[in-house]
Amino acid sequence: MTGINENFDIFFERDQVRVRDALKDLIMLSGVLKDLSGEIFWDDPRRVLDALRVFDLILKGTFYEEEAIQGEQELVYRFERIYELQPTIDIPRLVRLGRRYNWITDSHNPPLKFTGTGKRMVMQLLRLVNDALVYHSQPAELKEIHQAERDLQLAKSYEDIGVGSQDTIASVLNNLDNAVNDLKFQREKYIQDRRALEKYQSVLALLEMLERELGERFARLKGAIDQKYERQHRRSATLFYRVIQELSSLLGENAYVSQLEVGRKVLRVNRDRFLQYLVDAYSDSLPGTTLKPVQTMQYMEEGIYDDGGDSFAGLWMPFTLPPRLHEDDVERGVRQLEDWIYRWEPPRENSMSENIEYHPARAVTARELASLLGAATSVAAELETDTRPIIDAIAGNPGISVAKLLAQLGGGWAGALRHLLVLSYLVSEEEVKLFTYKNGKDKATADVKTDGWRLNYPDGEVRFVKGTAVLGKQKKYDLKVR
Amino acid sequence: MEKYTAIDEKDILMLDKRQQQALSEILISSKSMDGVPRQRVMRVLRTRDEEVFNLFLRKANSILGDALKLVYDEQSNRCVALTRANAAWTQEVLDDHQLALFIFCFYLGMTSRTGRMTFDELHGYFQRSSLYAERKLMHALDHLAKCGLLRMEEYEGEGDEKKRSYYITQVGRQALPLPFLMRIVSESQGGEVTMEQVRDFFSLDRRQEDTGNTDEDKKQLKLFAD
Repeated sequence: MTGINENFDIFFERDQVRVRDALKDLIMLSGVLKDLSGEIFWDDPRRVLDALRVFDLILKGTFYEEEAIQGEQELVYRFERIYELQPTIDIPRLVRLGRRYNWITDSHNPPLKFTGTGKRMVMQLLRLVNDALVYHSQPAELKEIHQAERDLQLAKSYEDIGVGSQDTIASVLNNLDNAVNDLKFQREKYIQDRRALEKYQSVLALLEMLERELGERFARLKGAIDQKYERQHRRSATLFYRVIQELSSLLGENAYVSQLEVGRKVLRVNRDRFLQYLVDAYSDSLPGTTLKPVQTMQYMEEGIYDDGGDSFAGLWMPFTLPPRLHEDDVERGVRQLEDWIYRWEPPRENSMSENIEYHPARAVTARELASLLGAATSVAAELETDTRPIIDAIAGNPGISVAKLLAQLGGGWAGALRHLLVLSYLVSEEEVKLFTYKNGKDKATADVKTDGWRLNYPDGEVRFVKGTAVLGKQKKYDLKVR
Repeated sequence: MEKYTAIDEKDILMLDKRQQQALSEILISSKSMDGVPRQRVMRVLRTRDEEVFNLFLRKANSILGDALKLVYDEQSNRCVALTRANAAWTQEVLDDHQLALFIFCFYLGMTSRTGRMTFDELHGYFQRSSLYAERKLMHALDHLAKCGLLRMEEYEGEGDEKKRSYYITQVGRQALPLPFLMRIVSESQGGEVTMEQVRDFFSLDRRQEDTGNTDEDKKQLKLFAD
């Protein structure tokens, strides 16, 4: 039916019946796949693998008389025997599904076999999955090049006998393009891993093959005047050039290392070259894989250069010994450390999340926001400037306890906090002074009626406030000004 | 004084008490390139003879071997202790650019007759290195000077302009070990060079370069003793 000289291409086929049948095949395949995934045979790699295994068993049963399968149950047993696994899928159901689409012969007509359609489809599926396996088994850096190789192989069995007419050359070149980019990004890594030479060789072997194949292909096209092919030819030339360029920089490193091994001698040190190297190192523009001075030093440390290993790398730099510690210093340090260890508590887990209450966010209008911000800034401004009320209160009642003072000033919880901040500012300015009564008298005065807050003194010692000389001077000055 | 002029093998291997004291003095105060003035060392050694001082340095260096190096910088009149900084530590003090620049200066300083490099001269080489080459170069040179590897001098140029020139300090001279220089030159030339070539290239004095190497120094000391 297929004449070898006839060209087949779904896009240019005139015979509509053929086109329709071919496309119907695809539709049927998609129907089967849809049902497979609907019936959980096709939604998990493990199950897909088992389904494919069952298909494979049926295929074998179809091909070899001695492996023929009489019924579904036998299929299950055979699966368990061969793979020594409990199947993850319902095999009889899978067989029924195959029958529905006329992939598998009827149950009235044993043994279990694939029909012609079923065989074709299943083999296509297996080919697809094996192709994917090959692709994913390649090391990452060779994937694209292998794909290019694969494209050529496929072209041999399809296009070359007139089936389909994909743009094989373009596809191959595209894959090469990707490979070049990949090489470019990975190059540093290979060099670091010291595997550059292997990479170079494997890539080069593939490239040689590709070049041969592409050359043949281009030669066959010779004579056909086609701008598209012309362009592809030029593109392939530039691509190969780029690949080789990228590869040669891989080789450059290796070539250098191997040069070292061979011990290529420099007869005369070239001054300009030396200075240029340093200028380039200074301005970060060293060509390719030349090592920077610091890298050279690191390599020397790692003992990469083979020079007997007695050349200790490193610059002579000035250094200093720390002055020696006195015994007391050490002891004090140890004591502090022990103290710290003694007091140290393991941080409580989730201590944060227990206590914090979250208030829902409130939507405010622009005006409200302005007033809120205004309030905040006015608080800040007040903190900055207005110390007079508190100073007046202290001057009026020297020796008053802090709690009492705050209560007197009023303003509720917020006011107390604010005044406390002002007070701390005054203390740091040494305008007022906090003091305690050693003998514990005046405890009673500490109990103050407050609205909504309570002041807790450190160690329970009541603090009292009084003005200092600085404050007195300040007040005098203020009076004068007034 | 008698003690130092007649040296036997035992003396070569040991520092006496005063010398030990002088050594620790230098070790403690080499921080940030301060070092110890020569007079101070000589006072610790209880001598006024410069030869005794020189002898002390040579002897200490021969005993310390490759671990430490005592250097006396005549210009700043300081004694400084140097030790080997590995790549990681070097990178803390000098970055890639500064190291390259220093090697560059080292070459120019060692090979020129006067040892003097003007800023303009250096700028000429590095002009095209980056956009703000001049400022960057000035900054890097300042850093090298701060590390004590270079010494900067200002002089009056044409008009009122202050010009800068740089010299390699004694510390700078000693900073780069020969094997490292050899690797750098090899890297720049793309092939192996010999130590001898490197010495010629940098016009290094063999004796000066090997202050730390014991064999040669023992010979020197003996010559001295004779």
